[in-house]
Amino acid sequence: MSDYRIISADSHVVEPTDLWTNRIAPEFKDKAPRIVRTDDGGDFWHCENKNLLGVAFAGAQVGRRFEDPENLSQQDVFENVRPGGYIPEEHVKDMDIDGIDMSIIYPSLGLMLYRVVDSELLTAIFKAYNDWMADFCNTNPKRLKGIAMLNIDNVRVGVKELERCANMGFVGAMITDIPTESRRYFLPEYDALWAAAQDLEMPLSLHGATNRGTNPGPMPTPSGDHDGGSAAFQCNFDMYVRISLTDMIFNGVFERFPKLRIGAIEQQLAWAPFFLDRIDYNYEQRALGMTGYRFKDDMKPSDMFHRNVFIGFQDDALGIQMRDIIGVDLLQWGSDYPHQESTFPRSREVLDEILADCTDEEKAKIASGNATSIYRLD
Amino acid sequence: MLNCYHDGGSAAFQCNFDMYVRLSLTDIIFNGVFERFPKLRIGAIEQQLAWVPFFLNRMDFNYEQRALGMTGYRFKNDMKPSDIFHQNVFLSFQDDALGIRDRDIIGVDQLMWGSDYPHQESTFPRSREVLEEILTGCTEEEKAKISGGNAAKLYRI
Repeated sequence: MSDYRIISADSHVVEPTDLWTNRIAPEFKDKAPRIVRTDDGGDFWHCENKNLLGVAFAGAQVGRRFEDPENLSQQDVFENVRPGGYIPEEHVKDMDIDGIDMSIIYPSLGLMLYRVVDSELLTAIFKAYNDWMADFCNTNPKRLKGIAMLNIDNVRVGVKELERCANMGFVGAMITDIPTESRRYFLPEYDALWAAAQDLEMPLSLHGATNRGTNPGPMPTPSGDHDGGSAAFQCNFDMYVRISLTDMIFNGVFERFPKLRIGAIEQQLAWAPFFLDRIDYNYEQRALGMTGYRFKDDMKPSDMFHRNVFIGFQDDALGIQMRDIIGVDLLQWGSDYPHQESTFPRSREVLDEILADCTDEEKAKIASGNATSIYRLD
Repeated sequence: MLNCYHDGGSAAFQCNFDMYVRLSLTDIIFNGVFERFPKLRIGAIEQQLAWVPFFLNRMDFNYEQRALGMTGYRFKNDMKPSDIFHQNVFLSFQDDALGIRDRDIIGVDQLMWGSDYPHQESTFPRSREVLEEILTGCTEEEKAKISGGNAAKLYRI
């Protein structure tokens, strides 16, 4: 058995059913997210009359993909959610079972809440979540590290919440992985956010499935109202982070904010080599949109990717084979506990297998060292 | 469509337009089109190649280890999504050394080179030079397939 330290850089809580009804500002209480049970016995989170997420994906079936994959289903009830999803002491016990030293923790329903249209409601929802999450992590601050949720529809409001969360002990924050078409990340008004994140040393994560409202063009939403739509989303959602990173890189965000760190979380790894090849090809060999602008110091788009971006994955042996192209220092493993596709309770076994060809130094970096340095952890 | 009137928008499209063919192929494969029409051939043209290994990986992962949308349906003859891809899809490229490196995963029999003449990004007038460079690590048989053999067979020419 291996003995390298493991930090799960992408774990999740499963929000308790009363989180928002208890904590949201009173004027938003009627509109808070709530669980609705269907006639045939499935629990689904709703908000703004939209079905946002079934608990089947978010903690009710962790481990089943190893034990009984043919019985994975899209419907389950909250009572089956693993308690570590919402009780911090149970979360830590499951980390012990799984050999995890420290967890960097994201929401579950929260990912889907980026689809809430009412922007003020969304800000209130995220504030309530951040308050609850700070309490969750404070039960064991050495091992539980939270990622705050930001609504940046109004950049000034988002920056204030980022500052508040940095003071509450969060190690980073998340923003939508793809804004609406009119709000894409090339807009100069985001510079206030990039500046604050750089100054506060708060990495910003673009986590899969956090699309803000209607997606650009013909791309499917994760709700997937037919079989193909759902598979199309699940097999291809790296496209969103690729668009956002292209917008940032080609519009000079990392030239203006050279210490900003942006994370591509849970899209896995093996999309990156082709992406790097394409951004450099288009920069070097085509006139597209670049109108002659050249980055300073002979930097190529891929150089900025290697300096400013980091990447979270859970189970991608193919990506690990390509690690020299992607950049070993960028890679952070995460268990995705307690989601349906998590590596729990076999995380060390899965990691050992994926990292079999890596040197000991590479193993230590991917399993914990890179996360330690990106999030300034002990 | 991604907007193309802004610097970033244009780069976002040009660097990522493989997403469209990936969506369409996922819809076609997961909904059993190739199971119903096993001799149908669909070509992914000019999106280059190196997006394919990750795409195959993601399709098989979601088919085998997640319940998403599949609601228990399994393809006949133990076919996986990637098997169907290898059987029914072909790919064209003009200048993608990275993809050629991954040719064993993608499938050598599916690869067809094209010059993109007379577009801005065409390899004209250096097609043979570009092709020789890209195919340096390939066997003679692979070179013959990629530069002409596969296309001849596919289009019965």
